[in-house]
Amino acid sequence: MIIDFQHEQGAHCESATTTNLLIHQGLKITEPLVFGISAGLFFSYIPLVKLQFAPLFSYRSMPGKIFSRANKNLGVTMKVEKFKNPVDSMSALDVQMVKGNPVGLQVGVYHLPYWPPEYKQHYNMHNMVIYGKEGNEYLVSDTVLPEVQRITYDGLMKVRYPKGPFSPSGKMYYPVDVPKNIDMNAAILKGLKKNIYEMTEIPMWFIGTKGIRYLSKKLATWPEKHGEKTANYYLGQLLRMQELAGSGGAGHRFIYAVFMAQAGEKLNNPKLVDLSKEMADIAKLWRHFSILGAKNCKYRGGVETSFVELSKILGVLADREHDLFKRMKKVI
Amino acid sequence: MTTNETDNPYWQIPEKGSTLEVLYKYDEKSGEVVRITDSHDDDIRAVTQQSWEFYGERTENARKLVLEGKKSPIYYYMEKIGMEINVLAPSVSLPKWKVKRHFKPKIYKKLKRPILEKYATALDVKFEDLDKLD
Repeated sequence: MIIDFQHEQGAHCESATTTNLLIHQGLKITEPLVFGISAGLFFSYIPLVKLQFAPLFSYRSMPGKIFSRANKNLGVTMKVEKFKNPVDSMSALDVQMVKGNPVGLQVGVYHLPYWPPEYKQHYNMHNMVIYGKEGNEYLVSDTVLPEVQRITYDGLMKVRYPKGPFSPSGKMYYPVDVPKNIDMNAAILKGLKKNIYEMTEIPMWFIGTKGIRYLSKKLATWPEKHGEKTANYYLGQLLRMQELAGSGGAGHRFIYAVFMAQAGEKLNNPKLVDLSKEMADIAKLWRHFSILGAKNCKYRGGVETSFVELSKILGVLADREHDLFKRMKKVI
Repeated sequence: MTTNETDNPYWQIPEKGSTLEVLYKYDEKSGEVVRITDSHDDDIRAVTQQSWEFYGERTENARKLVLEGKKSPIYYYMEKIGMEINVLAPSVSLPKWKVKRHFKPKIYKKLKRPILEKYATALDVKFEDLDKLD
């Protein structure tokens, strides 16, 4: 059974998978629109929580929110299921295959046979779509790769039940109610407002533009506090989150700029389109930050770009993002 | 590539061009942000490489500790595959404190075959190879 599903590679697995499932339902939507409608742009710096032995940095809202908020704002209902018994999860998947429904899954990436080896890690919050079954193999639309893939029954069951934090427990999801007339503009506005709130109005020092400022102050102290080597590793982790964790570039700021431009066009709002150019400029500065920071990540290298210089750039980024979201609030 | 491939024992990432991702970049000519499918630039590939070096060094340190009789082989294999105790413990259906005890060579020597086979499976290594430190 092979469903006529349009596989499209994307920048970020959660937004790209959601986009592909929605397009299959007939929506005229893009990944940037899904990302923006779900208010996916974010920032947080939580040094006490460690991921891969480095502080927790995030440039996007909590995993799961892009999916749930996009659907909510668009008025789409998705059925989301988890299963105690792995065999039940596979039977439930097969039922949807027979019905001709492509299904989204949350999986762990470590045992995916087609995963790029340089990114192999114990990570359990990846999203992909199963759109068919032939014999003992499932057909996979994984937005990380340009082409579709295949995985066996045993292989799929294994990745649906990985061990460790945020394990999906066979989580699967598919649309069950899609309104005939979706008010895309209303969804876009909801997303914009939510994102303005999350980036500038949450009263926590480690979140949003406050979080960028907080990081900027702390980053300058890393070499003295942790030693050069660890400081460079933490910096590397920040840059991995910024450029490699499926952000599409500059911590999702580029894709958000595209969203703002597309949103501005749909809403007939030229000021929003202008602001999208400012966001693109901010994204360029993030990228500049990453190029300078990456100089410190060379094998047996030391500190080539000073942490004080990097911290100054972050300070500018905090100010510019804060200013941009404030201006955006006034024009929408 | 900014990192020297030939004398870096942790060299891990494949050739540029083997992994193509969707990236959004600023195009100077058009002045727009465009969506492209490409490999990452060399500077960012260096950042991926750094994480392999970090884990490679941890693996080397783990091997030393095992050879010095300070840790058991399962500690080495856990570091080798970039796993942490919060994944290893549920993989063998044991609480973390018990797994930490099994990292002690004296305790490890007393472990029976069934639990060792569980560790081997969880750590992607054959039971017969557990003491080899490959």
